[in-house]
Amino acid sequence: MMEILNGLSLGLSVAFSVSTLFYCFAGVAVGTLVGVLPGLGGLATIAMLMPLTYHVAAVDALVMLSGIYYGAAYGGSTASILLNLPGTANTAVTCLDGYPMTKQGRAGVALFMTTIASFVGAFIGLVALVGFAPYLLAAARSFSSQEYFSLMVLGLIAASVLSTSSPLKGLAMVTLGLILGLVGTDITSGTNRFTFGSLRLYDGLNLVALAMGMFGVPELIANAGRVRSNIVDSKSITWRSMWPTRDDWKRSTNPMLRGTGIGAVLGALPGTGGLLASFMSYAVEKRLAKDPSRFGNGAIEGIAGPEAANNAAIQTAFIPTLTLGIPGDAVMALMMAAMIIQGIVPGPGLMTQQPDLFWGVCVSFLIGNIMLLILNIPLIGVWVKILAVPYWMLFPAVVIFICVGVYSINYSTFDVFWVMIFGFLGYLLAVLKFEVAPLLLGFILGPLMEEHLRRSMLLSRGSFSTFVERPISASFLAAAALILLWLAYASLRGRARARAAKQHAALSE
Amino acid sequence: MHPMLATVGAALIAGLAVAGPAAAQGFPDGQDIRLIVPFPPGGPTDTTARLIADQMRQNLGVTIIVDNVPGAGGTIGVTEMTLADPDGHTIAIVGSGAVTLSPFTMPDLPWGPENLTPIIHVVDIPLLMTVPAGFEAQTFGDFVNLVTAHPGDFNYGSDGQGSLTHMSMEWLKSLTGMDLVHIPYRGTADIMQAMLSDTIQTSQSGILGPLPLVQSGELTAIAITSAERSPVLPDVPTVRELGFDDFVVTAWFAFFAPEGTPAEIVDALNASITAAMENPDVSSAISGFGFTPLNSTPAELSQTVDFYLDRWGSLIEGGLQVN
Repeated sequence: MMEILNGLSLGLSVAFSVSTLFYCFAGVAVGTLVGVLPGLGGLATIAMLMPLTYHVAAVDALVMLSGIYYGAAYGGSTASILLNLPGTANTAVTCLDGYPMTKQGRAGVALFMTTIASFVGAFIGLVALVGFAPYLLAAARSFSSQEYFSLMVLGLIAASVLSTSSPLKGLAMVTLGLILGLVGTDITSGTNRFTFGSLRLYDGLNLVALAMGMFGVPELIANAGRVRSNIVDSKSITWRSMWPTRDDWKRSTNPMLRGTGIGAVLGALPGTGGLLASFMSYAVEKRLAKDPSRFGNGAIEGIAGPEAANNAAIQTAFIPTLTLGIPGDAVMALMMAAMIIQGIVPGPGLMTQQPDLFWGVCVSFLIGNIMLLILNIPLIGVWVKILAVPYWMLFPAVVIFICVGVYSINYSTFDVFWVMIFGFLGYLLAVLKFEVAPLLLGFILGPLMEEHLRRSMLLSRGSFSTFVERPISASFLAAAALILLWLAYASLRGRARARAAKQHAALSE
Repeated sequence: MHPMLATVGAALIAGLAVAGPAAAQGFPDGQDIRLIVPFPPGGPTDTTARLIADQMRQNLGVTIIVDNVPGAGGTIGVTEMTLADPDGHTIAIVGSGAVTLSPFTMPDLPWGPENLTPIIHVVDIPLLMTVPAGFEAQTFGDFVNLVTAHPGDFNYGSDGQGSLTHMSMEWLKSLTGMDLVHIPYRGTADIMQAMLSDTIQTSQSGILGPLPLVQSGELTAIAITSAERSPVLPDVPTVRELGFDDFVVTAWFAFFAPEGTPAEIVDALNASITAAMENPDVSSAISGFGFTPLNSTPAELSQTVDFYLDRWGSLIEGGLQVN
């Protein structure tokens, strides 16, 4: 405990230097901006701005680049809520209830609540980073492919609630997602699947192109045909209309805390991260809700939980990078490269050999998150005004941003064409009332589950009992089985009730 | 240095150089050179390429456009390079995997190693063979004995079927008779995680991945795959020293031009990049990434390519599945 306090005071002295504060602010401001712009995310921005940091102090470089990363997570939800267009792939879930809130004229409330949820998630995630890093690390170390696989089984089953319409359509979309996820080189065998002789397909389809195309573009196409010139009347945007009601606060508090918990744990596991955390949080909230039918129609829990989860995951993602030198995702790998260029080798020695750097960076995260809170709340009014821009101006601009954003990921026009293909497919699916969230989940989880299942089989030399012999894996599977049982029970009871009601009605006639 | 100053400075030096020896060689003729980097920006390879490009800009006196064309293990960028005119104005920095492994693993590759003109070999990355610190065998000899006594009981991790870290270990297995089970992973980070949880017992990974964990004592380095010991870990023996004379494997980066690029242009580019590599700022920055900076003649690079093509080709003919 003393150690942490000493560390924090050292960190405060580092983080409160004028230059560090400046780079922190620059980072979070740029991060918010690129987060808001659809498609353009932390990864491309950090890659582009990294050369600028070669000549500044190591702490400042790291503080700025991290600021972009978590700042983008704050901004990412803005486009999701206002335009049904995920600003970053991690905020795709926020579209599900955020956009309906906008249609109900509650965009301000939604933005306000995501800012608060982001802050709560990030803050608690940060506490976990500083206080529980060793424990989270130990948990992450006991995770092998068996545990990942069982966790994903649980995730997929829990997420069966994502679909609001017919379960059959939900299943169809998960399957379509799984199929799309198959494209590319299979790492276990080296075989190239569904690549049709094109090297461009060896790396698989681009997640961001898929998310942009499936969520945002169909909305643009659908709205283009409407007579009304904008989504909301600019006169209806007042400060008062942005303030969440007492009911909103009550509904959001617990989801935020649960979301934070989910995010903090998943963030520390390499390879899972914010996207899965936000999906899981959404599924949990819908599962726990008294009236699940509100979800998908502007339920504030559906944005508060996932946003907190996403931001908590982003803070704890730093744990394996800073303490082990093992980057959990592409952004963290870039961060590590930035440190190495500065002559710092991230890893177990970092905290003891360069405590000023470690603690300075941690404290700067806190400062950065407070800056984001202060920066984002006044910006809500600005963002909401975007909705008052006429469609004929707004939509072409959004399409350009999507193209630039998707291009920035792989420097590939090929990916931009895929946005178009996914856009038309997404529009078709929207017309037929299929939902795309299950598709996105299938697309992400499918390849991961396959990879971990096959690796588990290699490790266990082909024995399926490995999944129940390992305690952590077994408890995930048990939880999944409980959910299935509960589903079956609820559906049977529902049917029995309906039958009883029918009999009752028949008798009383 | 302020970026603006750097630009102005580079432009001034460029102006001087045009009038100097570079112009006398006839190449470059004042036109821009496009350097294709088949990886995303920001990583150590991209940084290395940009450092070298900066020096070339100064000693050739032309603009060098660094163009990131990532995808499919670097082969998309190389494909683009092979389609360009062989006039020295389009070159690429290419990884060993794209040149020596993708011909075997990617049936759709529209080019082969024969379509590339070697310019210069610039960077070597030794693979470090490690075991978890708690593992019962802590030296290479003990490890080989233990694995040989328990065939099929232990695992090793690689970056995927047909990756360099897979091929390299398979080669070592064929030399030592060890029976280790191959577990493919998505990358070095995942392999390290698996080593720490004792899911796998060894791997040969690019030195930068395991280095911090070796320095902190969580992993033990039992051998290094390069021809010489690494200055970073001078106590770790090479596999060659341990009795396997032929065994040398490194990941490397080299510059190539399209097939048919005239020899005098290749020589001019080789001279320019050699000068860049001899700049102490460049070589110390590259060493900082755990890379070994070096330079070579085009003929030496050509031999290196043939060595690995021959090696991996015979392993695959011997029955190793790569795709």
